[in-house]
Amino acid sequence: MHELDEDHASTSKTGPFIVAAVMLVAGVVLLFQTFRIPGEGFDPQGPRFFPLCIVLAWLVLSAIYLSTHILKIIRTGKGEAAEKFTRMVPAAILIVALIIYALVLDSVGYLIATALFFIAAARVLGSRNWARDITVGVLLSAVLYFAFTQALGVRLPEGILGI
Amino acid sequence: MNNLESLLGGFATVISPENLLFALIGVTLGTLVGVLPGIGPAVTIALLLPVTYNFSDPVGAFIMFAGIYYGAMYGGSTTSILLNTPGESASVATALEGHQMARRGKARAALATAAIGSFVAGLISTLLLAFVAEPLGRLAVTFRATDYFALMVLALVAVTALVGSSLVRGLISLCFGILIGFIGLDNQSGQARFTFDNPALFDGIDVVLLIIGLFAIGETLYVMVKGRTRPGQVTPLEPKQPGTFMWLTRSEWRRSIPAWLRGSAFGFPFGVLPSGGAELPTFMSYTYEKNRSKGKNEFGSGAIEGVAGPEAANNASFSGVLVPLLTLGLPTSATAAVLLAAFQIFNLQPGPQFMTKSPDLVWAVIASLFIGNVLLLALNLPLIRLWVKVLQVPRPVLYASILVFASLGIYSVSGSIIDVMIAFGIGIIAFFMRQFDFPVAPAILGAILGPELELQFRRALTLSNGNLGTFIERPLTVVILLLALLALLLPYLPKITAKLRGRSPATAGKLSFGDED
Repeated sequence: MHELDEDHASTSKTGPFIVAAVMLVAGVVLLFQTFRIPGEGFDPQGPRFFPLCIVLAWLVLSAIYLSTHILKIIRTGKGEAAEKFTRMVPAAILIVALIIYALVLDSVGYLIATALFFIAAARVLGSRNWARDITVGVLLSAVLYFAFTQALGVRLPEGILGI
Repeated sequence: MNNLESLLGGFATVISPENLLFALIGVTLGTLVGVLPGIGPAVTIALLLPVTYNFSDPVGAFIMFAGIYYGAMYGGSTTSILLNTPGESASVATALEGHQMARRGKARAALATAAIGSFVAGLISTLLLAFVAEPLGRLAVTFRATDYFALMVLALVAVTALVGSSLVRGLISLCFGILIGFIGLDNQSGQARFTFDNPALFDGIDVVLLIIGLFAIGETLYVMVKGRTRPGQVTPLEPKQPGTFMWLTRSEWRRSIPAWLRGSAFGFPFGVLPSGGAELPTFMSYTYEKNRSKGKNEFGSGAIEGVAGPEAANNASFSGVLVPLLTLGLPTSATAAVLLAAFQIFNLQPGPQFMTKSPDLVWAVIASLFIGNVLLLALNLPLIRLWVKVLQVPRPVLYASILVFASLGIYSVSGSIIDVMIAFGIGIIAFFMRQFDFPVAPAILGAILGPELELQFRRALTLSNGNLGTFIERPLTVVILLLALLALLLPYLPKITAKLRGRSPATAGKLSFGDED
């Protein structure tokens, strides 16, 4: 986390506002959820007391975060720490690839799904060598599959291959 | 001499061809994953947890973890020295001088002083651990629920206050972890909490899943967005020099040995205290070595003490962290949290009873640390060319493999697609946490210690018939709680003292250290 390269000092002022808003909304949702925990009152020995304390602390801290951000902008023109969002398109593609991978794992099977996911992930991460990605992807998924199912006794989905 | 006997007994358990093989595999895998920039020992162990799920004997698994830990740590120093990209904040100090040494054609000396220093510090601190653990364990048996509650508050608050650059962001991260820990059925009343009526959440969110999501997936996304998947410039190894023993000249040995000892002296005690693991002692060791060498002017351009000290401190602090983990069941760093999760996989609960109930395993774990250390030294220096090769493997391939391992780890822990999705979701949150500079380690500790904290709190209240005053009745509890309060104020001490002296607080910064292990 301390790599000394690009993009480090850049800040965005809107980012922390969104973060604070999300945290406050999440806090309110959780506050309602706390009241939905069965039980009456907030007996310190009961299941509702501790969650209530932490949710309230969360809300207070979120508010402090928001106000520090505003105060910092007023005082120095710069808000709370926020790094620039770059290369968000490949990041989004990677997340979609991860989700598809998880969704098809059971039906397609570990071997094929993992090999395909590896190739996709390596491409999105910037690899430009098809032959290498395919070789590594197929070998890695095969080695992992047989090592885990045969040697380590972990069950992995067989899928359409049926081996 | 009872401890020594027990330790020898531990060795007897550990030394078998099978276990040595596990240690060997552990060191190799650990180094392989550990050389990846941004992937530290905690993540490496979390990623490799599934390998041990079906081990019938926990001893083998823990020998492997010891190997993985030392391998990952040493892999981190290799990356710091040759690439100048420290994997975790504990290697930042190493990168400062180590990379300069490598650039001056002293890469071998830097790598050797790091490896041998880790080895020496590991031996010293593991011996200390062996002698400190038992008396402390005996003391811990007398602790009551209120004391445990206070200790956990202290550990959580101290780590949060010392890690990262903002106390508020650290506390938010801590609360996030504790809130995650609430999810599921309440242990005592059986009521569902924060499950949104979804039965998939009744069992709660597994800690392994949280760790893999927060570290491995979050880090990969972050690395990608920062464009760090391009290969770095590996500083070439110079040819072997004549007249050296284990790559170090006579004068380098003379300069390294005291630095190793001083580094161990920093590392162990700060590991025992809840100070968040290795970053504090490594930086203290670095600063100390730098001040000592004043006049030599070598610091900044590759002083061997600047590698020897922090590396020794880094390794020694790990054995220190094991003291509260084994005797109190209290993890005080991300790595310790992962190890606690590993213990729980084998249905083992570290703590005061652990020392007395399964002494064989405790001593085997301690002995396996020695084995891991020896293997590390035996493998890493001779195989350095191999590790340099690993550094040259294209990053996209390595990070894609990390994602494959991460998904495999989550899937084999639960076998459920929903859990895999939850881990991805946590990974996305972790990515945003990195973008907005929220430290990650407090979230892990919160998720692990939060439920324990609540358990001790309610247990204490049950014992006192619901009287909240029970927390201020025992002097020990009060002292620990006051220490926790002090820890909260500690980061602001420079500011407060500046104010008290009537100076402008703007010039005094907040005392802070990096995130993660």
